[in-house]
Amino acid sequence: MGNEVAYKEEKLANGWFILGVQGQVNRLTADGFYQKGEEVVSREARTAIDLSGVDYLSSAGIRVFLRLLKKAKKEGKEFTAVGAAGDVKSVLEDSNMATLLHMRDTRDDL
Amino acid sequence: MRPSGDWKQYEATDEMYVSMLEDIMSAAQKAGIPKTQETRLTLGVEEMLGNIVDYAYEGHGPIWIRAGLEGDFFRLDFADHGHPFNPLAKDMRHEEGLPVEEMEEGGFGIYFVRKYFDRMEYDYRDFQGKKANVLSLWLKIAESPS
Repeated sequence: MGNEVAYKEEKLANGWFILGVQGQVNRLTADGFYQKGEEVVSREARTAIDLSGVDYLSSAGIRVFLRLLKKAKKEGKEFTAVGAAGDVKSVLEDSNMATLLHMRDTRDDL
Repeated sequence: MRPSGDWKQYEATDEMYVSMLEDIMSAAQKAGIPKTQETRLTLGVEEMLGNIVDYAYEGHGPIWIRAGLEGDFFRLDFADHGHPFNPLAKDMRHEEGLPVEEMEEGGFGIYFVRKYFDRMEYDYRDFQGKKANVLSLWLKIAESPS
């Protein structure tokens, strides 16, 4: 099980800030993912988590998405996810998080 | 019928978590779990082991794991001497339509276990000389539709 996650930040011309995640989001990496996400959501008005580099997302990762979504809503900001595929997409859909996040297939949909 | 594996004891800590998971996935591969079922298995193992590591003991304690083939299923058994806790006692599904602000952050993991595994059983019984939480999960070896 991977316990290293890499992040890449990018600002799009339309104002969306992309936090790209690379690796596995599990019980060992979720705290770091939350800290990084919280830092970005605190700073940016519109944040999208790019999951195209994530090949495993567990309930620990779903909890992080819910916490970040709550924070964004409380602060009147936009927060979503893009690029999820395969099992990662299934987990987001099965937990209803895809709907709550208004998840998009790609960053071109932002 | 009993599973083909033997009980193996570990220390219920995050440091041992990766070893436990690797041993289970190795047993699953020997049992013939297809690649497409590995994520479901990992999600269930992470949830069950995480519960024991985080909540079973005040400090550290033992966890026993048995994994192996049982008929057409890969069977997993977890046992610990921690606080009595039946993870299957409550239906932890999140209510649809509940505002995000009111949603609880727990419950997703057990929801995945209920959704992805074919059968689950919990018992609080004598095991290794003490009362123990004993949880069993069955995952069908053949691929199931998503």
